[in-house]
Amino acid sequence: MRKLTTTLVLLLFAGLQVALAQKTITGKVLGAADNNPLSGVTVVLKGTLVGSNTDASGNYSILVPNNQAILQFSFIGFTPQEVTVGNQSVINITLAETVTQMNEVVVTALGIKREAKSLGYSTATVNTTDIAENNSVNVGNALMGKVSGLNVSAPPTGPGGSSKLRIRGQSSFGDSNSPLIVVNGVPINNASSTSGIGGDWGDGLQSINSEDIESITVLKGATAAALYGFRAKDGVLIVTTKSGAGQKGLGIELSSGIVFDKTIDYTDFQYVYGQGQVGVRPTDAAGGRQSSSWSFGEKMDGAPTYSIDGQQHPYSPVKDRFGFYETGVTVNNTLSFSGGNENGGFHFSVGDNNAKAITPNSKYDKKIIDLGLNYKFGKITLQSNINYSNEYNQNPPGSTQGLGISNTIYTTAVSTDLRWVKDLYIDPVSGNEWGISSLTNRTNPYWTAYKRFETRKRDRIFGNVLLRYDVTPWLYLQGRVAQDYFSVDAENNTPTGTLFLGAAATGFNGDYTISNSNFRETNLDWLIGVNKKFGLFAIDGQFGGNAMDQVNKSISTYVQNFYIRDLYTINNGQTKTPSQGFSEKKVNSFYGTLNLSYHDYLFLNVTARNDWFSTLNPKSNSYLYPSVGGSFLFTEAFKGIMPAWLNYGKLRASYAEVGGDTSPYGSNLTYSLNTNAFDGTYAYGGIATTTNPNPDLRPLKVKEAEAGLELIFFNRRISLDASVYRKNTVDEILNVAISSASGYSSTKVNVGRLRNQGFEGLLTLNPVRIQDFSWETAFNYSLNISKVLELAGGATVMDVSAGQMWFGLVSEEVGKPLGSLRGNDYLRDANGNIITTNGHFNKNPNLMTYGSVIPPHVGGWLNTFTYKFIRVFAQIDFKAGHKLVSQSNYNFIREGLSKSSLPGREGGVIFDGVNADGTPNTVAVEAQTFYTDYSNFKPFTPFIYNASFIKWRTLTASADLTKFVKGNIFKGLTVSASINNVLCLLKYVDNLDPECISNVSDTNAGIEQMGPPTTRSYGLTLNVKF
Amino acid sequence: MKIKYVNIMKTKYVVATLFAILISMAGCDKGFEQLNVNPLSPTSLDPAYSLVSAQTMGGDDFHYEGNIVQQTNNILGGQEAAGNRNINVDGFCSQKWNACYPRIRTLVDVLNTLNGTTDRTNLYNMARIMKAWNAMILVDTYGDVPYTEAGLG
Repeated sequence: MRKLTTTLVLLLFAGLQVALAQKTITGKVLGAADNNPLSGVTVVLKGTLVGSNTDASGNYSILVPNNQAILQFSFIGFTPQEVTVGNQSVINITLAETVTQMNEVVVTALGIKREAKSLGYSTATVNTTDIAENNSVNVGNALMGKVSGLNVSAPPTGPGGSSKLRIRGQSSFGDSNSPLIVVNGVPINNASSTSGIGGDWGDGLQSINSEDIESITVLKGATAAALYGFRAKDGVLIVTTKSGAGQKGLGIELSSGIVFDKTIDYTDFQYVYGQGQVGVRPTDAAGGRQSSSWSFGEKMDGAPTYSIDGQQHPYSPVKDRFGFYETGVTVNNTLSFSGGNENGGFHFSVGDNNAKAITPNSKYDKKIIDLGLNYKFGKITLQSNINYSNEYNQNPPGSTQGLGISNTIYTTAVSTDLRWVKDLYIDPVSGNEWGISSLTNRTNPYWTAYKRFETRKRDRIFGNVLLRYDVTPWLYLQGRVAQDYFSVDAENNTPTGTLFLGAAATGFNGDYTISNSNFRETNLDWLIGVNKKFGLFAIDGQFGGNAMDQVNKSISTYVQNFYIRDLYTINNGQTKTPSQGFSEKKVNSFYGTLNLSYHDYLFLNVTARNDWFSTLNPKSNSYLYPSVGGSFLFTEAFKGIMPAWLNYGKLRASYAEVGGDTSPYGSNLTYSLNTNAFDGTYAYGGIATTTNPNPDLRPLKVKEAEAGLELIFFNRRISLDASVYRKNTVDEILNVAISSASGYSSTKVNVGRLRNQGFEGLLTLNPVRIQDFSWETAFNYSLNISKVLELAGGATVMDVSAGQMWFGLVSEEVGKPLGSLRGNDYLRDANGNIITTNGHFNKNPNLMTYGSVIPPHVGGWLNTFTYKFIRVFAQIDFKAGHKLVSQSNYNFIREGLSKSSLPGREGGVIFDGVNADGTPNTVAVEAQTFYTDYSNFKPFTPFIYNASFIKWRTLTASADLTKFVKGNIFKGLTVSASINNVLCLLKYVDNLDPECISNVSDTNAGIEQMGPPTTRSYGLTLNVKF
Repeated sequence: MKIKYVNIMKTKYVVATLFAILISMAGCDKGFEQLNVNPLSPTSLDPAYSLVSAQTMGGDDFHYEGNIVQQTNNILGGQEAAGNRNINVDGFCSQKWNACYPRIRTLVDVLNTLNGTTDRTNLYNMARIMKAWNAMILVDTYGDVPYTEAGLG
């Protein structure tokens, strides 16, 4: 019976074949550039599912019903072709390469779109699919490892944290060398700010919903950014948001994502000796609460032992160190509507992002509404993008001792579980903090999480309206009004009863700060554009101007000690310190750009911008920033001579001078009155500053030359984009110490000089490109070598690290790379042996340099696999050649947590050193006493690490299920799953993630001080189009 | 003919725009000098407030008696040596240098403000005495020190 059925089916099938197959078409498919056969080309009979593929020699055969049949030939990377069969029986096809680069358009400075081939400088365009699927709350973090020349650090500072972006090194000794962020042609504020406990308040980029982004272009060098003049020293990130351009009809899109964040525990601690000091475990309830910061107890034996809650617990290893942390959950939803016709379109979206941090009672919520529209009324085009964001950041984790929670988490003894005090963070008797250590700066983390508050709410609106009038096809006029405005309400306290606070004379200790600040920047700009062709020559030029006005206002009140307990208000404060801030500056600018081209293969681009600063002396407030760049398409120029396998070749070179920004009021001498009168009676005040104002300051200048090469070989199977650059910063404003006999301690002078030079390259390969499957693999690498050339007043070293830096020092040293990490070594004899005194080592009082905190090598390896409708993306990235100093590891050894604190637990440590007379040390020192020497002397050498790493950053799988649901109400359906921070493949730092540095400031780079742990995240995304 | 007319119109348009640009260029920094004055910071101050400031400006322990009367202190080193034996112990002496000159700067500012006026001679002379007293501490510590040019910036 079964046999019969099979036969019947086969017969039926054969019959159908015969009925349809009027004739067989055969042929060969070749690539246009090299005439080599293409294998795996899809050949489909139009309007049916009947199809075939070419074999290894490019041959195919297919049955067609009649002469009217149309064959479709398609292949990834090639322009598809259709052929009507007619009366042919052999159809040979030559498929043309889709060399999109030839006509690729790049959004450049001021939002001017230019052909990629005409640019004399390096730019990079980021794939927005990878950004959307990355699910990063801050879109900046999604750029990590993707662009050569761009160094991204994502500090583990919670979902509302900043993203540190640096292009081609650090252009100044200052704390922020972040690129300018330009959204839809207009700069937005991207300043990061830090809370009082080292928490990260985030930056400006986070006000953008990644779902609204249409494209991101990175302008790396000074020439690319030259039209931004005084704002161009660090390059530019150009973000274009959606405006419905090219949209037909109405579309609704829903994008939803959920991400789970889990802490990654890199600690490799000793689990032999438990909580306790000098080899003894706690013997009573009080002792249990005193000694939790030390793992210098006895060998763990599981016997009931007192601990932080005053109760007895088994004296056993507690390996779940991050039990305090929760799983972070981020839910984001974006609903967008877009529509349009041939005259224009709109894009409107509402995004909601709720991120619960890993720290209990900490979260970051943002709501973003974005509207983009463009419409053409004959010769007039109206375009507008408005972005409103409402952000609420609650209790971002800090990194200081005490209220910076992670310090306590990391250093709690190996036999102690902090969750034992989860419901016991308030002392039931006093109502104060339930102390868990005799070190009062190891604040009970539950106390910090639930009794302390630190909140920040930001309302922000930025956007612009642009009108363009096309006078003739070759001439247009354009005007634009833009504004970036935000208002920030912030509050924080140090709760009454926190143990490290001193007692109040009367009432209750603690403090409270409330502040409001706002920022407004308006930009008015206009542009005249000309575009004309004369025979083989073409001119494309723009001339325009910009008026910028920037106002910062702030008002805040700090109060200390209270009359009524747990009431955090200004009125309840005993001493009140109000403060007020205001600053305004304007910069007016004119700029022009002229692009000449000859024969479509030789391009010259000249720009100039002049800025007038309100902040500078009127006698010298005008600065000119010029640039010149050229590009030469040698494959076009020598067409026919060049080998066929070289599809595209371009040489480029450029030079530019751009500037740095300046602060207002720096050149005038002013007075200030003290907030409160002396003894409440006598008002007093005086000259406001100890820095003697210098009226002759000028903005720093960056001079950069770059050259590059772009090549595409073998029908896009290999593409290469490489650049070399040299970037000199001159005239950096530095403080020069002057004799205090002048009454001032320093003055500011334009003296600093530094240099960044390097190479960056992007190599893209398409090793496999067969039917239904392709593999694209791209390597990007940047090398940046920096050098300090000159400091103020002939000094050879200048310390730049600031803040809680009792452990670690970052300096600038003439002749060395930027960001020298300095510290004290052990005291050694002439042979390099460590000198011991009675068994104890000593500290060398002189500082030594360990290396730079800035990685000279940064790169990434990006792989995209496409199989039918499934796309898999995997990224590995690395940074190498830099150093960090680990305050955590210093605490781990002196508090008995790390394995390196194991030697000498029984019988004392006989340190491998020599006595002053050169004889080997034989004196044993009791273990805890010995390891506490690291605290007493603070030698840096054991805590300096190579900060290099290689990480498997991302793994994403997405499926475009559109074809399974199409025809119903859906126009598109994509699902994706992703993992971020998949695996750390190589690192040198003990017990920690080398990326755990929580400070985004350049002056504190390389100083690891108890930041929160890094996380691995697991995300799911659903995208539906209706 | 019509085309030519349009071209003339456009040329005029362009010329007018360029002319407008040239005019606006002349005023590229109009009002900038006034704008660069911080409205929150006074550019002058009643010298009486500055005098109080010079009087209360701290930062140094001006006497040695407290330490000297402590019987267990070593008078041959440290702060006592600086006070007792007129030895330059930089850690202590420099505190005076760094504390007195900012006061002198404030007092010089008072003197400059009042110089030539006659209605506040008491205040003027109080500032003179204060300046001399601060200089005396420094002379006592170091010998010859800048005086007439001190605090001028």
